[in-house]
Amino acid sequence: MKTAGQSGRGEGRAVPPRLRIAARVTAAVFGAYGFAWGLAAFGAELGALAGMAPAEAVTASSLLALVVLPVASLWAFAVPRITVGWAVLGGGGVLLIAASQFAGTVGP
Amino acid sequence: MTAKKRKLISPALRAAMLWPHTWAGVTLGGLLMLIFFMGSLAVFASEIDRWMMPATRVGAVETGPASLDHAVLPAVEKLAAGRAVRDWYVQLPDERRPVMALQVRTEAGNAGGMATSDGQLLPPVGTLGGTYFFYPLHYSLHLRAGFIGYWIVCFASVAMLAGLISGVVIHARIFKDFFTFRSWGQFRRSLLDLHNLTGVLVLPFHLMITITGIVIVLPIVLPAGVQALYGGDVRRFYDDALRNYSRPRSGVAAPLAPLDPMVAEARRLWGGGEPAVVFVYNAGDAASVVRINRALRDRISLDVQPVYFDGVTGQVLKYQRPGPVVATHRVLSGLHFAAFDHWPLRWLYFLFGLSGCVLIGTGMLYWMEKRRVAHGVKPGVGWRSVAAIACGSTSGMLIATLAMMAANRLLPAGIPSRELVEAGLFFLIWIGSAVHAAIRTRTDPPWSEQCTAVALLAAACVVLNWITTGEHPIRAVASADWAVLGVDAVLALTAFAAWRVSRRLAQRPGPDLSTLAKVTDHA
Repeated sequence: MKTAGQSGRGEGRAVPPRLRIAARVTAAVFGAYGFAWGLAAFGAELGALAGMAPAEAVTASSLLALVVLPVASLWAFAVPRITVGWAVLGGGGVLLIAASQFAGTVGP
Repeated sequence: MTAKKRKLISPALRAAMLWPHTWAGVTLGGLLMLIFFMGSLAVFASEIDRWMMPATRVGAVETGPASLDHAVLPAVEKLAAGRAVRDWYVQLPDERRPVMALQVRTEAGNAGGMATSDGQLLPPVGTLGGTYFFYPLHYSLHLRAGFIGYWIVCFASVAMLAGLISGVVIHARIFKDFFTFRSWGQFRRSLLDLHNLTGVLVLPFHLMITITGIVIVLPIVLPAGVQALYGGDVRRFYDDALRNYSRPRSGVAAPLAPLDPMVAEARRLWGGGEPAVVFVYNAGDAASVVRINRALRDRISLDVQPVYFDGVTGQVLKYQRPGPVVATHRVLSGLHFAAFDHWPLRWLYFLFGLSGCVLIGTGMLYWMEKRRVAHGVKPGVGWRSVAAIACGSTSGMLIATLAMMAANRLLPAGIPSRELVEAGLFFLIWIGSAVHAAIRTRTDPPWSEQCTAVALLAAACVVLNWITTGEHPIRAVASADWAVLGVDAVLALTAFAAWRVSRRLAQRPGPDLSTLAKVTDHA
């Protein structure tokens, strides 16, 4: 498994180290939270579509998102290229939120 | 297992985890220390209340059927003092709090007070005590506006979770080092051992307590689902999830039906159990609602099983159990609250909570000792700030806490806003001790001086309790006042330990940098 520890030097030829660290920290804080937000929102909509009571769906998806949150946060430091990290966490978060909006319009 | 784990946790991954582990700890360690320490105190908030509110040391009450109609209603009237009552609630006496706590909302402001179980109002306690000062400091930092305190605490808690997980990844030789504690070896080495030992040994508790702590306020700090399905209305979500009931005032006056039959009916619906809190909403109105919460002491779940009655007819309006997932959420929350009646577990929660402080503190100390090598004899501003924060959040926080308890016994009863003076003193002295730490940090923070202050203050608290209330340990034993005796015992133990530590530290020679530099630790 290739991780940041190995590739730190390779990736940063053009990017100053301060910026690289800032990218990872912001991905760990905001990227991971956005991803967890998307997961919780999409999960809630999905649960409601599947016939769960709204309070049940919200609680279940939030609990799941809470477990994912710290792991996603750490993954932002472990992923070899932080651009990939931002793409997955940020992009994934946006996609999940969009999907939850869509599910909200489809649902009853 | 081991071979698979080796592959899963590569050396590179371990190296990558080191940075967030280190810096999350260094930047948020002080805040986490506050959260863990105040959380540990909150386990015994009721006992600290008895110590800080001597007027409420009225001895054990039988938690039998105290009549609400005869004992509580007159006290509510007295608190309202002629103003029209809007809503009120009473927390009924229990084993750990032998008095009732009343809160009344009138058309012209709120009033609160404590009363004995037969309805005798006590003079104002003049303190926030454990329940209203240390405990809220634990979860909200007393920053109520916009739940900003919840957000900060939960942010630190997620960092704590990440720290625990990354710590396990870094420390892959978890079982080998499990039995390693080299206390007589090199100082830095034993700091790391202690850090690893508490981290590994108490890991299940730390994981549980951190995650369940966030779970309690999850709908507030991660309102994504609430946003999606409830239009962002957290209150509506809670009312739905916890099966709450409410209705607006009608404006038509109507008398309140007797409360005691409602309590009996609630007991019947619960199938046993004791009432803990009785709320009356829209008091004196035709649309008044009575809510009765169940006491939590006989189970883990934080589900208070509220029963709603029509305040005029006394009929049950609503009694529903939450769905399975919400019920799970309540059990997780209850695991954190530890409201169940179990003394050995309560002590374990307290000690494990303090072990969290040890984990965080040794982590910060280890960082300081390691960086000392890089900085040499004259440490830089960064190192000194971390040292001051570490000192201010350990011995400094103890000083502030103990000073507040001493002030609680020293301030005269009659001074205006006494409880706010106490709280203000806590923060002033805390800031003062952090400033002291920052100024006096040369090669080391002023551990020894602050430990001496802790020892003197803790001892002073025991003596002051004795002088101002006449309750010395022998009398406490004689009257079976275990709450006050327990707080005094922990204070005395703190004084003894802090004194020993301060003496040891005063005799310790300064750090020998030449030998420090020779030793290389693993990451």
